[in-house]
Amino acid sequence: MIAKDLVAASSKPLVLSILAEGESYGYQIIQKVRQLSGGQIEWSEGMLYPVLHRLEREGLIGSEWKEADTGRERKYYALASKGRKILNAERQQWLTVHNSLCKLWKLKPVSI
Amino acid sequence: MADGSQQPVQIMETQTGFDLIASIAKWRQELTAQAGLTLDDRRELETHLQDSVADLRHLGLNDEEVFWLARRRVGVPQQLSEEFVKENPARVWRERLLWIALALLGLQLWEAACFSLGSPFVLVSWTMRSVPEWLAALRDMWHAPFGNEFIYIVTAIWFAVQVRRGRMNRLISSWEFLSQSRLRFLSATIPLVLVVVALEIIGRLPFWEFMLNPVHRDLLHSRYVADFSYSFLLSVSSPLALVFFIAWLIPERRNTTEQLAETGASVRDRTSTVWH
Repeated sequence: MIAKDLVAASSKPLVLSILAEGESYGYQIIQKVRQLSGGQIEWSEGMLYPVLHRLEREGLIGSEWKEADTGRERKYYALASKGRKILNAERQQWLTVHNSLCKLWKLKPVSI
Repeated sequence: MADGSQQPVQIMETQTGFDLIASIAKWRQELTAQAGLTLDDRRELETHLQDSVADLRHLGLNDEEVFWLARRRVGVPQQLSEEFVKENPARVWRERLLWIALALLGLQLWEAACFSLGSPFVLVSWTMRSVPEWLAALRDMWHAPFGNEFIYIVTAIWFAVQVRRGRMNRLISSWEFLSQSRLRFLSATIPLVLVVVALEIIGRLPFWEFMLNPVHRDLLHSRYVADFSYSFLLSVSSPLALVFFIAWLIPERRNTTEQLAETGASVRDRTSTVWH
């Protein structure tokens, strides 16, 4: 299991990156993160929705109620253009941290 | 023997008689009781619960197991509410302010509507040369102390009883419809305010006393119009200000939809196959 602090810190780049692949809703995002991390990152709803709402307030993502094929309405989130810029900056920072650790651990760094 | 054979059947019934819809409704009520959650938050959390339930059902669990597991996953309402408030305390106050303003507007309109019940007497008096005895009696009753206040009090009690019995669903669903966009809210409430306030003033001004006298009719007509206009402007300003205040407090989604159209278009083809 990933430590709580790290889960909180990585929530923003994870959400933005998932939405960069296409619009999605809360339930799907949690499933996606679970799947990506092989069950190592377990997000709670009480954590995800406040993050989504904060990102929306900051103008990084947008939201819209839409009806799915099943007839149920869901609140879909999508990346806004400002969010795309922020995601690029986040990416740089995360990869810098990642590469520093890789060098120390004698692993192969990735290109930024 | 008879008792012994009946008991297991009853137990079976209580085990399988779990009402999923009623349980979700109860959970929704618990959520509503949390001060930190807005209407939109609750809707979003409920769709999440529904998705959880739908997925867990595929695992072959029964409804009761499905519900308790889904409920556990979504989280305890009180904790959820605390997390939401921590993120944005101002938003909760904005929603509270919205409800306070709505209640004030409702109260003003309701009071005006009660008083506007007097306006038919006036309009009838206007069209008739002589007012029949019974109508005059009714009219005097209306203007006697506690005549119109009586209706105000009776409807207040009626409304309180409705709220107490939890029969607010229609009111809430009509508000959900109105609150979806500012334009919709404004175009519904402004005409309502204008009409109700106009009727209220017609009911309040002693119109017939001028109008019934043919000699004074023309002379007083202009005075009535002046009185009416003055009272109308005075009475309409407060509810209209509230209407605009409420419209300002309603969260507007138009901007975000535009952003969605902008960013969502490129990925729509791919994501549409993922959704189910």
